[in-house]
Amino acid sequence: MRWLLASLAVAASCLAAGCGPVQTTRTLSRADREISAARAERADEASPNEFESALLYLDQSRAREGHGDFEAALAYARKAVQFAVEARVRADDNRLLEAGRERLRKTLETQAPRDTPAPGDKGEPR
Amino acid sequence: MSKGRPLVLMVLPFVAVGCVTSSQVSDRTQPLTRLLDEHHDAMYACAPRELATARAAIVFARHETAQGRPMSASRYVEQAEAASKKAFLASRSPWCMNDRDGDTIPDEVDRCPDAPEDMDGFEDEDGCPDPDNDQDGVPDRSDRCPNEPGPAKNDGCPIRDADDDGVLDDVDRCPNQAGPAANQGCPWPDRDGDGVMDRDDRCPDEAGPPGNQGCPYKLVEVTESQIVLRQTVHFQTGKARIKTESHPLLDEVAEAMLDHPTMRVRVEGHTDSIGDDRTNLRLSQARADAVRRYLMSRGVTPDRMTAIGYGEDNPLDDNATEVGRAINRRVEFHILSR
Repeated sequence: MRWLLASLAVAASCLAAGCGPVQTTRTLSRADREISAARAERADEASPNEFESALLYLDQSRAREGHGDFEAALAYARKAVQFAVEARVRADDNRLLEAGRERLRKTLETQAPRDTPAPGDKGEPR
Repeated sequence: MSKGRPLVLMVLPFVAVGCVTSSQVSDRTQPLTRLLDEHHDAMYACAPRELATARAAIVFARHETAQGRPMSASRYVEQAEAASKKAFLASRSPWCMNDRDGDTIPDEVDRCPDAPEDMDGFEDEDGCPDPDNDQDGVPDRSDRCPNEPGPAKNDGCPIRDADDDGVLDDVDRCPNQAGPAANQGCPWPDRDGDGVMDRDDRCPDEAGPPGNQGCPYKLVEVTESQIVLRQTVHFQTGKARIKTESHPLLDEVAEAMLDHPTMRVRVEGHTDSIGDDRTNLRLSQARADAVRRYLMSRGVTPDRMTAIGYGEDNPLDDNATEVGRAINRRVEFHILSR
């Protein structure tokens, strides 16, 4: 009976205060993994806004964790995860867009009249 | 008291300079948020990192203020202001203004300069995104056939009509065999294979031409060279008047002619040897003519028939017997061309 009461007390105190750090640490790890995955997909170049946001929120989360402000740290870590995932997805979309742009560039090149200089182009000497 | 005063004097300016109150944070970040919202697209395209920094710093500043950390809040506000300024300047720079939506199509030719082209190979030259290329109501992202209209139930792909019978495959019970809608896209059955579908075939188990409603001819047979009669054409004695009992026989000849619309025939009239030759010749010609006219009355065009009377010249049997003479009195149909 005494053991049971002791266990319940530990669980209650964990719920009240101690699980915040655990959850924050876990979410921070996930944010780290998502950011690494996004970087592997070259999201830092393809979707710089989302990638930068992920880094900023990760840093801020760590800073708040260091100050024992676990609630804010967890919220920021979650935002970091969200931005990292978005960055990776957009990087994937951007790859498709790039392929499309390349197709368009080639189309425009073949359609451009040879004797008319493009805007801003001074043209070739004749 | 005198010891405390210098301490207050030291701290006060720092607090005044370095700290911001909650309302000050609000006053300084609100216009920044408005600026970032108004120029979001251009900033996103031309200064994405600065935009991210500015927005994050505003969030951090508000949180720090709420937590009662004015010094820290102040630093974030300054950071937000600096990043917003950089992002704004970049968004107004000439290189950015030339392609606000960053889709690589210069604004001067971009029909939608603030909406990036989706570069999906469909009308990409105009610079406008086409979220539903085929306008079928199924967005391209979930449309298996983005350039062909089709219903959502078929993932945006058109429902085919493989057998081209006008009944779409999704309701066609026989998608690879042409058939009418009335039979759910399946062909009507044709048990005797005569080309006349059972529903129109009076003799569905006996092959017959369409002109005879799918029934075989009973009284005639079309061979390579002749329309062979299984009965004799009866005329009134010594005359060219066809007896009514022979009408069904000649009706079938007419049907056979209509079933073979390019066929041309020679109608031959023959007699036995009773009577003189010239009379027999005239009678056989008159009878052949009578048959030709009858067939014309049944719809066979005259140019498809020639009528010739041969008199008693071409007997098939012995004119010395009654049976032989009956055989020799006859009408024949010889096929000239098909």
